Amino acid sequence: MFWGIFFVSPFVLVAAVFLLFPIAYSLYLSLRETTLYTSWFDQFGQMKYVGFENYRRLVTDPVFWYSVLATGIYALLLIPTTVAASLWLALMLHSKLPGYRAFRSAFFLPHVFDVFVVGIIWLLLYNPQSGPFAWLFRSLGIDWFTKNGFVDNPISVLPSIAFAMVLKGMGFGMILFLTALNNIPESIFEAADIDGASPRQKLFRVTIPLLRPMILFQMVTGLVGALNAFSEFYALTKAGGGPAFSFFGSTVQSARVSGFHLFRLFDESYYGSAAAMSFILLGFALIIAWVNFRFLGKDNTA
Amino acid sequence: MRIYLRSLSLGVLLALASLAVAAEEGTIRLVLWQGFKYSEVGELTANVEEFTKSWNASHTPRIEIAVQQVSFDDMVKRMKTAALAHITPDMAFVDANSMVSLVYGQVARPLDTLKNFPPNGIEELRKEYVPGAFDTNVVEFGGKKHLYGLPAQTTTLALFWNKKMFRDRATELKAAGLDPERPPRDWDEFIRYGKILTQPEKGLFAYGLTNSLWFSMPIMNQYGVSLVRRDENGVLVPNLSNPRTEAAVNRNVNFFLKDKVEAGAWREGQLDPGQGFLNQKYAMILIGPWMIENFRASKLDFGVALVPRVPLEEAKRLGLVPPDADDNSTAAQHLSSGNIGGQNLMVVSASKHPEVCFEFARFFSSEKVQRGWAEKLGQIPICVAAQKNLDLSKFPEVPTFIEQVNLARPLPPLPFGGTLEVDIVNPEINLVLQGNRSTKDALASIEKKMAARILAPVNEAEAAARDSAK
Repeated sequence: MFWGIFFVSPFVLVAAVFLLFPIAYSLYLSLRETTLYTSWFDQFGQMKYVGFENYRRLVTDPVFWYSVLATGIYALLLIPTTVAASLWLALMLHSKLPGYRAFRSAFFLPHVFDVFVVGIIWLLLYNPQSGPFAWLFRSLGIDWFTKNGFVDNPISVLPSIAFAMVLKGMGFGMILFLTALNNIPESIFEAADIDGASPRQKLFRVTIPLLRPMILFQMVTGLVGALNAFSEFYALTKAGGGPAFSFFGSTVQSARVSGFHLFRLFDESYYGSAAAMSFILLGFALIIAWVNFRFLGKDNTA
Repeated sequence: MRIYLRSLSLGVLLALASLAVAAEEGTIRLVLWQGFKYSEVGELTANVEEFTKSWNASHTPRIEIAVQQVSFDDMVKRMKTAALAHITPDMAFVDANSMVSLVYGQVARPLDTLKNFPPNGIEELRKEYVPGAFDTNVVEFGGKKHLYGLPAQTTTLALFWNKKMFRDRATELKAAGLDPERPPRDWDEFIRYGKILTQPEKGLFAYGLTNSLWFSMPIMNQYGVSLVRRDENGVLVPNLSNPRTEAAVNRNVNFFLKDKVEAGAWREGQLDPGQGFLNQKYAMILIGPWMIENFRASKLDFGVALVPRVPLEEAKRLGLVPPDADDNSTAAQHLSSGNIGGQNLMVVSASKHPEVCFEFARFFSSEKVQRGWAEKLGQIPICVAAQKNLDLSKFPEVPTFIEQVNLARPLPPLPFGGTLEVDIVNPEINLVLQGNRSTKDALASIEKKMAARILAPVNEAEAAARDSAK
């Protein structure tokens, strides 16, 4: 017993200092708020105790609820598309098509680029007059994007950013799926062949069920990524938060996802509100992760 | 005996060492944060050396100024974290529009309480500087108004026009009775030029607009807009629901909505005004002197002019000028107002040697230093005396900026400047530009948010300060 505690104590200590203390301190901050006269030399010490006021203010603020909704929409656009695209790429490359090594590197490459660099490139691609996407749509007889832009209007801004991030992130998902595919024993496919399974049946009855842990993993990490999404929105809206629109009578910025809203609160020194928002988002993340595990993780043996 | 000699030698060595340390400790070491461009750092270093040398020749203890580079955009954030860790510099060049935050954060030291502050007071000192730039340093905090810095570098917006794009439409401009060799002088003329210069089928537009409060300030100032005012009880209230503000906002948004001379550059996905001007897509933009280097490097044939004025008839209608004013009257000249940007030199409240820092701030904003910055680097001198008899042969645009900045006014000294601009004003005006909200409704919404998020805490804090003073 003693030695057990002794050996885990370094980890417990590190976790306590770098994980548990910050969580507890954030909880403490979420019950306080900076005032107009808070000295920067003692910002946290001079914060005023406000009880649950930060939480109350957030849950009655339409801008906060829009940021949650926008994050949900973004997650719905991003996660299933990235998982599906990554899986499709992995299946293509797993079948060892000619030149698959070059394709593997090419698809993975965007993942290593900084989000800001990718954002600037996509801003050029999305230019409504001179960008290739606008030209493509124009040549198909659709000039809506030339008139309204891609990231310039509340309707298409979230799908446009999600599309850019799917193309950036699917290379990494593809590598994960390739690793998982390589770990499926060949004998299972041979058994399916003996049973006379068609390629479609092998995909839906053998491959995908066996990849379920990896799909679950990508869904959960994707969810965390969507909740933390900030840089792509900052870069693709030129730090502005996107075009404005009216949401239940309040003016909101259409690309103001929760990560962006959190950044604005923090940037303007509303540390208490920012901490409170983090805990509310944590609650949402836990609920969604639980739902994911409940429906995708209950049976891994297929 | 040997032991005795060794001990004695060691004692002597220690005594000498402690003397050396004492001499070193006698030197005052000051830390200066700066966020200047690479091309400006050399001049700053020379100024610091000159000041140090001259100070050390006549004062003891000696001083040493360590100049540390900090990104201009991150200066306030760095100051905030440095304050928390109690490792602030002694002085810093900070964004002129951040002064209020720094004062409310109690990081900036009031200079008018220093022993060596000129005896004639703030108003007398103001006469030495560009008024708009000086005013960014005067902040009311805790019910008391103080001077918290000195202007060090100033910028403002002016009209940049592409001479080639004007010449390309010379025939059409002449046919409309307009001179292709000069830029427009008032907004009505601007629109007349704009309608001819705009050719959407070729992707060419007369104007590229930036949708931000700071970039809108020249027009707001021209229309005599004051974002806030004090009511009869001295309480701060928003001041936007009035014909002048409405006219100013309409003027700004109608370049796109009604007059159709603006490219939509205010949208996120479009070429921003700077890029559009650089690529010869936009014939005119409002921008500051910081872009001149880029435009020159791209071999653009461009000119710089004063921001076009409010048309005289409209100005008379709105009561901005006397009814008998003509185009050459002083009142009419003042209709070409600008905004204020740039940097102030502030002394950090934790500095142990604020008087020396203040002397450095006075030296840096002196006529001699400012003249050097103007003639060598093309900067706008913040010291009025340095604006006369300058050799600006290398920087022909600077005289226009000097004229413009002397007509400029800063943003009101309110805290939460980021909230006001990014979260309150810009989204509302964005809605107006999209055609989804009327100017009147947008201004009413801005007023409501301003009152709740910015003015209420200020009023509350001022009331508390008044109560504690009683």
